[in-house]
This record gives sequence, structure tokens and C-alpha cells, in this order.
Amino acid sequence: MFKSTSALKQAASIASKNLDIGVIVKRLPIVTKSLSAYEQNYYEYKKEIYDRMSLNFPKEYYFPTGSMKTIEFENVQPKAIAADQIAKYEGKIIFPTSKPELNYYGRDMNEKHDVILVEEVKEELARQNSKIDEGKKNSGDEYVKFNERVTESDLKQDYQKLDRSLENDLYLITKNNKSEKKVWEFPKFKASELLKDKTVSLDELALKELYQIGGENMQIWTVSKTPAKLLNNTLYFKNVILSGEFESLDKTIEYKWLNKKELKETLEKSYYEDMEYLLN
Amino acid sequence: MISTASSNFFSKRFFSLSKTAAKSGCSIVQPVHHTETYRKRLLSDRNDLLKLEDNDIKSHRYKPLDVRSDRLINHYYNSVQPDLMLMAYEHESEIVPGVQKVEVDNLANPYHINISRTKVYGKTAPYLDRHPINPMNIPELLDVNVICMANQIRDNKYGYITAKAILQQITNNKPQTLRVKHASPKSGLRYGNQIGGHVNLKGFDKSQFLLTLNEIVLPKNEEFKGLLEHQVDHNGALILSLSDEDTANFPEVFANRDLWSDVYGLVVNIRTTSQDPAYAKMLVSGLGFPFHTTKPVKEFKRV
Repeated sequence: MFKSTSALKQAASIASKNLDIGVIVKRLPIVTKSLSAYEQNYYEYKKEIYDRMSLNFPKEYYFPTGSMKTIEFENVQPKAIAADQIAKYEGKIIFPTSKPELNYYGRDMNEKHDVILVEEVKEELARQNSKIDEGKKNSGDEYVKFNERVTESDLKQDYQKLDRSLENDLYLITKNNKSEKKVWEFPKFKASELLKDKTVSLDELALKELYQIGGENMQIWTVSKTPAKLLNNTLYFKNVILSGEFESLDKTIEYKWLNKKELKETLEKSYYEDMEYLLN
Repeated sequence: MISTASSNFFSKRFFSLSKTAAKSGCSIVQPVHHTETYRKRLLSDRNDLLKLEDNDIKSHRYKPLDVRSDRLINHYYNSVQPDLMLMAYEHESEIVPGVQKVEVDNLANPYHINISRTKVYGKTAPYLDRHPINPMNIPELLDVNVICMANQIRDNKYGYITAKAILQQITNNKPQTLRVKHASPKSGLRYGNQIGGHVNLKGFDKSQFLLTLNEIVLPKNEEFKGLLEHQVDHNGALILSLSDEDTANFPEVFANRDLWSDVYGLVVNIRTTSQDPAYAKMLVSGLGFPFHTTKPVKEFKRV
């Protein structure tokens, strides 16, 4: 991979006359990825091991024997399974799931030690007595209502909006209706005239061109001055959009924000295969 | 040997010398003693379970670290790692060796008695060997060490219990006791005194701690502008010192502030595999920590 750099240099020097510069602009995922069935099972399995290995609640440390608080605390706890009773009636008892494996403290080892606090029980009782409506419950500050993972523009399939496909990376692609080939591509520009100004680097030039077609209402961070890809005399630079939106000023230029799965369907097959390893 | 036997032969007291006289000679070879000792109990197989590594499920020290999906690590593999590869890439880069350790043969000096050959004099290496960044060598988070030390341990010698309780609440890990290593008469502490606790965070707990630190604790501090550049170590570690007010902003302490009579500051050591401070800065800022500089940033050398 690294030996080919000299070959790349040669290729670049030959093709500098009709060189193009392109930008790969991506939006980072906003929410965590939803787990596959395998991943979900894996984490559940690990969590069970974690719970199984956890220590018992050190009751003696917090509740000294004989105090009123201790008696209250013990009354609230669920009744532990008596090991001696299991031993006495062995063979006669039918367990609904499986025979419990008890540890020294009489805790079922397949579950974590759930401790019920007296205050929690009292609060619940008070809540039941006051009979608060469910509508009031949800409106309070204590209850957090999560946003949905599927947004409106997801349902409408509005490919020009950025609040879509929150789990995945979104990439900007454009189609120029003026050009001969009307194909979807990552935005690219002709650099031959721009290269005369030698004070500005290539990645900055590429961004300048992007602002001209998409407006300056985009806060974009360039990952590196090193190009990520050389394909068909075009150097592609990697960028991340942090905020703002792309608004096409020229109506002949169409644009879309797509994730990797959708890119595979819209881009040309050979073009996609060359760019595939750069995408997430 | 024969001469000695002959001298005995003419001794005045006339002991019986028939035994020595009958001997043809004696062995010049020194008697063999078994100098290499070995502990036989270590060879038995009953201790094999203790020899396992910590992350082996058979080990008694095993603790599952991946109990749920990790937001920070997912972000690292999704975007930080490929970006780091691109940012730190150099054409035809080579291994840059760090400063070598200078080893002096002290045994040559007759005045240095009882000094071992292995002792190192002179400079120790400030820089590690810097290997080129390639797919096999991209800076990564190793682990996070958190230390909590009690103030004024002279006045309240049980302060270390509070320090350990703070750590346990914040990090969801059982802390180990921190003891005095170098006693000084000024501090009034002796070697081995308990002064606090320390934890080594790995897996989900590590990323959970970093996320709460970055998203909840540091933004609450109004004076905080960002991490300073010099906080990054030459060994690729980032060392943060949090004040006791910052510690009080952790949600576990903040929710029940009246419970804590004393709250102490923390020292957070974020360890990475990077061999250069520049790479460590890239990695930590990629994970969301802001950096702040008064001077213009000295940019990493690019192509």
C-alpha cells in the first residue's frame, strides 16, 4: 500500500494539467446503531454473567441488627428461597423454569441481587393514594420523553434533508444536468484554472467551489489536507459537516444526502466499488 | 596431599594412620552442591487457575467488560480511527527512535560499593520510538486511571475512606487504597499511610466515565475553556487534574450533595497507545474533548 505512493506521485504529476478536485462531505450518525439479534443476545449473556458475579447487598453495614429501620427494610424484601426446604422436599417440587442455584446468602445465583428500599415503597403507596392521573404524570419534569429514532423526513423519504437516517453516516452527492453525463457523483470541480493561485491549498479550493454551488450556510471541517482518493484524475478530500444545510443555488444541480446502502443503488456500479472502502 | 600424609606419619603422638596411608589419592574435583532451589509446590497443577489472565473467563478475576453497546467506542471505530489514519499519514515515513537509555557500568568504579549494574544514570527516554501510522498502528484508547487523594490527612486520618467512596460512586468500580510511597517530615506522613484510592477503568466503565466528564462535568465549570496542550504526555497519556468543585459536579455526588461532608479533587490519567503527543491530542480531541491554546497551534508536519 505504501510503496505505491511514488507511483501515485507520478500519476498526479502527469495528470496535473486536467486535474479535478472532489469533496466527500459526510454527516456523522446522531444516535447509536440499533443492535442486531446476535449482538443483543451477546450483550444479554454478558450482562447475566455480570449480575451473577455481583456481590450481595451488605445489609449489615447499612442496617444494624435489632433497629426499627432494619425490621422495616426486611419486611419489604421479597422472601428468599429456603435452601433447607428445597433439600427436604427434593424430587417432589416442580420448578417452573429451572432449579434455583443458591449461594451462601440464599440468593438465586442466576439473578442479580435486587434490593427494594423502604422509601421507594412508601412513595409508591403515596402515589396510589393520591391517585394522580396518567396524563399529569407524563407532563411532569421527572418523566423524560425520548425522541423517536425515525424522523418525519425519514417517513417522507426527503433525501435533501439532514435529519434523516440518524443511525448512519450521510454523504452528499450531486448530479449536474448541464453536463453530458447525467450521473450521480460526489461533488467535483475542475481545478485547472484554480491551480494558478498557489497560495491556497487544494482542499481549500475544493471547499470554495462547494460553497459556490451550495451556499455558505455550511460549517464544514476538513479532515486532512491529504487526499483520501485519486480516481479518474480527481483528488477527493474528506470533509465533515458539523451544522448548516446545503442549498442548491443553481437549479440545474440536483443533490441528495444518502447513506451507504442507498449510495449502492444510486451510484454507478464501478464508481461505487472504487469508493466503497471510504464509506461507513 | 602426599606430603601432608607423610608429615602426619611422623607425628609424635602416633595416631593410627593406616586409613590415610592406604588411600591412593584424593579427588581434585570440588564437591557438587545443588545451588539452584525450586519450590516444588509451584509445580503442582492445583494453582493453574491462578495463572490465567484477567480477561479469561475461567479466571477468578474475570469481569465482563462489554455488557452493553458502547457509544464512545462505536464512534471511535466509525469515524475517529479512519480520520486519524488520514490525518497522521506521511509519505514514506520511517521509524523515529526515541532517546536511548544510557547504561553505566558502575562496577568499574571501586568507590561505588553495592551499586548494581542495572542502575541507569543520565537521561531516561522522554520520547518513545515513533512508528509510522499505518493500519496496524493507529492510536487507540488504552485505559483510564483515576486517583482521589484526601486533603488534610493530618486532621482527619479517615479521609481516605471518603476518597474511596467518591471513586466507587463515580466510576462504578471498587477502588484500591493509595498509600504514601515517599515520606517527608513536612507532610507528617509515614511510609504506608493510607491517603486515598485509585481505580483502573476499562471497557464500558471507561467510556461512561469519559462521557460524563466531557458532557456533564467540564461544561458546568464556567472558567473551563478547554484542555491545555501541555497536559499531553510524551508517553501518549493525558493527565487532567480536577478540583473538588469539579468532583462535586459529577451527577452521583451532585444529586445528593448534603451527604458528602468532604469532596476531594481527582487526577485523571487517560492512557493511549500513541507514541507522540501530537497523535494523542488528535485522538482525544476526536473523542470530543476541546483543546485550548493561548498561542497559535503548532501544526503537525504534513506532506
